[in-house]
Amino acid sequence: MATVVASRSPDILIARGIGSCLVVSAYSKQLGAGGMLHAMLPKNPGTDPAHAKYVDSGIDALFSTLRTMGMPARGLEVKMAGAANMFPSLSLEKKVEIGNRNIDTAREKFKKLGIMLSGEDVGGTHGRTITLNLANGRLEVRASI
Amino acid sequence: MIGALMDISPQEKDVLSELANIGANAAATALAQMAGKKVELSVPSIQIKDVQDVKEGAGNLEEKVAAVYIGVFEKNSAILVTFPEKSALRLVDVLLGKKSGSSKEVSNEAKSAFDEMGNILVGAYLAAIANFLKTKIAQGVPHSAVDMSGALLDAAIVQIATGTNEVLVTDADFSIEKHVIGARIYFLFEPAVVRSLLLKAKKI
Repeated sequence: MATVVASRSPDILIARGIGSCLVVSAYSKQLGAGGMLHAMLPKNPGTDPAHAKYVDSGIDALFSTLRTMGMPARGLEVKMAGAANMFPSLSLEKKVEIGNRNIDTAREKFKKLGIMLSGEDVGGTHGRTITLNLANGRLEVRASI
Repeated sequence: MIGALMDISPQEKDVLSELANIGANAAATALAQMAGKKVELSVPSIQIKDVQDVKEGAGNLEEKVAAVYIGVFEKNSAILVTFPEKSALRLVDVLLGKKSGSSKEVSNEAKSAFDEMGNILVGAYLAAIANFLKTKIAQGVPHSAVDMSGALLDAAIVQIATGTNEVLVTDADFSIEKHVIGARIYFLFEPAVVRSLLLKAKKI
């Protein structure tokens, strides 16, 4: 959790058992390389140096990591998955649903950066295991059986 | 870092382990009364984990578990208890007075039975700790779900992740006859709440 990981083909990046956290993947077809952000909370209050803990600063951290690997943000295949509402009755009680806020924050951020998503599987009330295959850029999402 | 660290000394960690032990014993007694059978208990010591690393040491993150989340205190703190699916079904059998192994899946009837069990066991657990510390621990309503352990864990942790960077983790294994019911307990407490518990323990 709260991490950015990046690598090249033939590696596979896996985030297992994702609940309300949001996973953002970015992939370069040309280089056969990419990365994954696993963020927990929507917005960085601005003081936390743990950038990858938050969706907004985490997306910046993901793109900056990939840029240093020779992958500018434009031209990358960007997808997102996760951000479920695992305890619906709790969200009702607290009147806050973090999964949903993670999704909204990511959309805002992508809009600001001028990035179009190539795919997404977000929300719902189930957990996910999310796999990015760097050999072909496939993002696979598996739910609990 | 926005959430504070708990800054717990080895001695204080022993005190917290002792509190967890007191709580688990009370939960075992409650379980024995409901089951009408002897319950044996094993409790390892408590662990302090960084919020971001909790999932790494949590075993198979895709394992299907039943979890119950209960808010505690007035502050932004909670307790999360997870049971492997089999253990959860055994608890349901106990509550419904069925033969162990009767429940095969978490049906609607089983879900409300599981909620009830979670409430009773966590209630007994916290009440014993409160009693020992001569204080009160306010407890919210239970919220339960069945899914991948990792998914339920991260969803619970984000609830308190703005208030703390560490959580306390412990297990409690209840044996009824030959069956073991394994529970993993996460104390998602703000550092100030942990401090106040430790301060109260000092006065005992």
